[in-house]
Amino acid sequence: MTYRPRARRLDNKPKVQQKPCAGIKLRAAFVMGLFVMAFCGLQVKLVTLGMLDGYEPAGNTIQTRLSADMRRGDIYDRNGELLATTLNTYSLYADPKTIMDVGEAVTKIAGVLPDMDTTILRDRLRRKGRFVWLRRNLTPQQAWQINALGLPGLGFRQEMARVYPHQSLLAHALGSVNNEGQGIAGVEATEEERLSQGQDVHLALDVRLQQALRDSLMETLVKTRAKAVWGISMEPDTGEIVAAVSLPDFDPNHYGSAHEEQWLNRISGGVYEMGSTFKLFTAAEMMDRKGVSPDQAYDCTSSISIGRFRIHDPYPKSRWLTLTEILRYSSNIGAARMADTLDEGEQKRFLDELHLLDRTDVGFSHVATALTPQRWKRIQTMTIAFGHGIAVSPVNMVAAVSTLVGDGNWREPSLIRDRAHAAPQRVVKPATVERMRNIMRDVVENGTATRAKVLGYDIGGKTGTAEKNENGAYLKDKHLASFVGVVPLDKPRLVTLIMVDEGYDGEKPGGGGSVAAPAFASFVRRAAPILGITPQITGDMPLVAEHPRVQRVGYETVSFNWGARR
Amino acid sequence: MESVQIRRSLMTRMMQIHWPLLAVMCLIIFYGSLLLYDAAGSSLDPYADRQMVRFVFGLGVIFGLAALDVKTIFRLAYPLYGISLVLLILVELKGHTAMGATRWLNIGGFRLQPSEMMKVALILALARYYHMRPLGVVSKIPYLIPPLLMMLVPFILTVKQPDLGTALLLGMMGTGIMFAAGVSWKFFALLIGGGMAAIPVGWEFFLRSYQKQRILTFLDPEADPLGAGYHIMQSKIAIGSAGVWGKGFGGGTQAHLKFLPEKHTDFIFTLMTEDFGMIGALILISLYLLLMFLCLDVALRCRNQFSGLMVIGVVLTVFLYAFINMCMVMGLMPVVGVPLPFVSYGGTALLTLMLGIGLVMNAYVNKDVNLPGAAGLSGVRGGGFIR
Repeated sequence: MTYRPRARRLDNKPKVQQKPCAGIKLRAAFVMGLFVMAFCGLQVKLVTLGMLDGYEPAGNTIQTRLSADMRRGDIYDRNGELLATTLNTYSLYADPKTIMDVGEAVTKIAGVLPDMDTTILRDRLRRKGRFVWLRRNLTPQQAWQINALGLPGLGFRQEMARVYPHQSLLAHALGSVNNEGQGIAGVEATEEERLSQGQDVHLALDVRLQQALRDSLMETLVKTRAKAVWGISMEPDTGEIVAAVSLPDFDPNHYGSAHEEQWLNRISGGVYEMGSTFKLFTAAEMMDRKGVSPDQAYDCTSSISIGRFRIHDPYPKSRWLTLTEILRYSSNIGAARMADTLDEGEQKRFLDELHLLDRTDVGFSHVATALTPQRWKRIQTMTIAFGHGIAVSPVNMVAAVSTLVGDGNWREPSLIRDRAHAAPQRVVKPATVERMRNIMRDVVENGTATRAKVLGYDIGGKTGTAEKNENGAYLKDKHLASFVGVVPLDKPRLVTLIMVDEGYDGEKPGGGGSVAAPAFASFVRRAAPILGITPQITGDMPLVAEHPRVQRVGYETVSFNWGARR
Repeated sequence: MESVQIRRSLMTRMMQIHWPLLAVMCLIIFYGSLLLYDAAGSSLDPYADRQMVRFVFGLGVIFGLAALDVKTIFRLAYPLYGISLVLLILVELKGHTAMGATRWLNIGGFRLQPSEMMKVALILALARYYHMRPLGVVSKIPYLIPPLLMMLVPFILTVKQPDLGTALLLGMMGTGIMFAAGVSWKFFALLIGGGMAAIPVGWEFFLRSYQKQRILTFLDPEADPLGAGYHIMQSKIAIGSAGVWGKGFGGGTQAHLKFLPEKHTDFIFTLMTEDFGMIGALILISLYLLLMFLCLDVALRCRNQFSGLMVIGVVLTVFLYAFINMCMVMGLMPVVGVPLPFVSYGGTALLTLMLGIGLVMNAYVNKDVNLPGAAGLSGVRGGGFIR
């Protein structure tokens, strides 16, 4: 109010008005300048966004989303057999607003798809919206029939479905994809990059051998009432994994509905105390590095006590045993005595050369790391000599044994064919290989693995029976039985490791010789004809060859009673 | 001279509008419709056709406003502001909630967004306020309080809706009008300082969690590329991949493959850049600059303060809309939901802006008319016309 008189006075003085006028023009220029600068700034930012930054999308979210529109690559086995492919399917939807007669539509659709619930169908067709899914992934024939009904308001959307024609046969090797078509397990996950770009992937696996191994293992699983059975078979000449089965498994077409226990890939995703099969490495090291002959004898008269540890044999011979005999009878005392002559660190170096302690990524999606003792002194060296106090993965195990019986070179195991590999590395001398083969033949002919014998085939191997360790205590009645076998010994084509978790031979807890070795024999009977290995029948052998008991367990779904086990 | 102006016929006054300005505005709208046609997958339906209907309606509004007597607008300024304020409070009490924000009122079958109305009303009310205040007094504290209150009340109401974009727009536009009215530079220095100081307080007490999320996302969009950062990431990818000439009309991948949400509304700039590249963006920015330059020119020619400030208010609104939107899609500012003026699909925004252009037309037609009060921006004092 007090300012009003002054304002009036201003009105009468034209001179005063000239000043603010200049100020106002200045302000207008200032505002316009601000506008121009702001927009120029934006244009500069635009140019930098577009050209200087060359904006790279962070992460691969965009990449994978774009590639969802591209057809995912197929997966083949070594012989070109199709293992995984992507098919176009049709998904049926409806626009409820344009459906003229819901009752008629329901009857007609149910006529083509009899398993559809008509009340649900009716509800969906009466919904308010303009879009409802009726059924995903129809076969082309079903889609054609629905289309032929001539109902207005129905439509199809083309979708892609990942299909695994061999179902559970290659479950853990292939893995599966999620709803967006991205690999979530197995090769689907490890080769996601190539597959999502539409490239095909060729595996080293041979579907025929895979089938042979799975049949043998399934037979063993049922016969021995084991918790789990798994096996892996490798070509020593190339390091290629030709068969890999872990039971229980799942159907990759229905990955989501499988039990967690079925997802576990025990071949590479678990590490185990192998037990006596480790004696192969002890023997090989003694002969190769210490110049010990297979006839060198060791004192196995009585058990060894070191501190609170006591090393004894389950079936003591109570005499001096040669190196060959130590493996034949699987003497823990003998293996410990041999390893006791090694210097500190020598054993670890040898196992390292065989890549037993590595985390070997062969193409499986789950890879476990070996467990080694933190203190690796005299007592540890002695227990590791017979496979206790160290846990390794089956993949590493089979590659290491392949080295000892193949040509003395370690080769990187591989599941995927078109992948670069490390060069073969020499570990043991050819003479050692020759001796190892003889020792393993002896184990099968005269030792613990006589049930691995198959008439007419030259087989070698080594059994292993590890007492399962639960919460630090070894359990007498729970065994992890294993057998690693070679066929044929003169020119090895396959090295196979089979492991049986808590299997039973009749009422007794099964050991390597009683449950794993027969599984190997069963595999050889199936696999040898596929590989074209002819049986050598000599004069003193019975003329009537035993025939493999062909028991197809193949595709049937075995129900695992998980609740009772836990 | 004054009496001649009063007796101009309705038709004559309509024909005296600023034709170049109208042409520039139409060019921008046509450019926008082309983009809407593309956003719908090379189809007039459902965006471009509806936008054109609104455009025709808006043209009627422009001509109508141009023909209107400036006195009428002057008299309506405060009542309109009052009504807008009441409606804003009504929204607060019983508004229609859409997408988590309460911004609409249902009035007789059609939905009204009072915050849009408030944008026009605030311009008019502030223009009228400063029209009555001579330059010498506007920086005095008692004369600063009413305009600040006029801004602050709708500001708080819109923040509460919550519509941060409109709130900021109201605040910045009001401040701009005060600047044009001649309030001392010191006041703005103080305002900016105070605003900075208020940031932590506002963060703590006023912002909703989704608003905070947007701001955090803006600071680091890669932190959440599939969630809140998705818009910005996709937008930047689209702009970044376009190059100088773009991917051609209908050639944008991010927008057409549906990676980009809201491509026809707030993120239409991205679609445009993808299709027409840097050149397309340069054309649009130049058109905006031309439009604003023509409006400012009108403001400076106005003999009465009211018309001049009204035009300034409109220019500021257009500028702020365009600037905030472009900053937003380029990732320079948080996503606040401000459309690209004359281009984004949406009836309310288009009509509000065309109404604003109508006010500029009115100011241009009545540029020589004197209203009682302080000097117009032209610096030429008028006599007591209404008196």
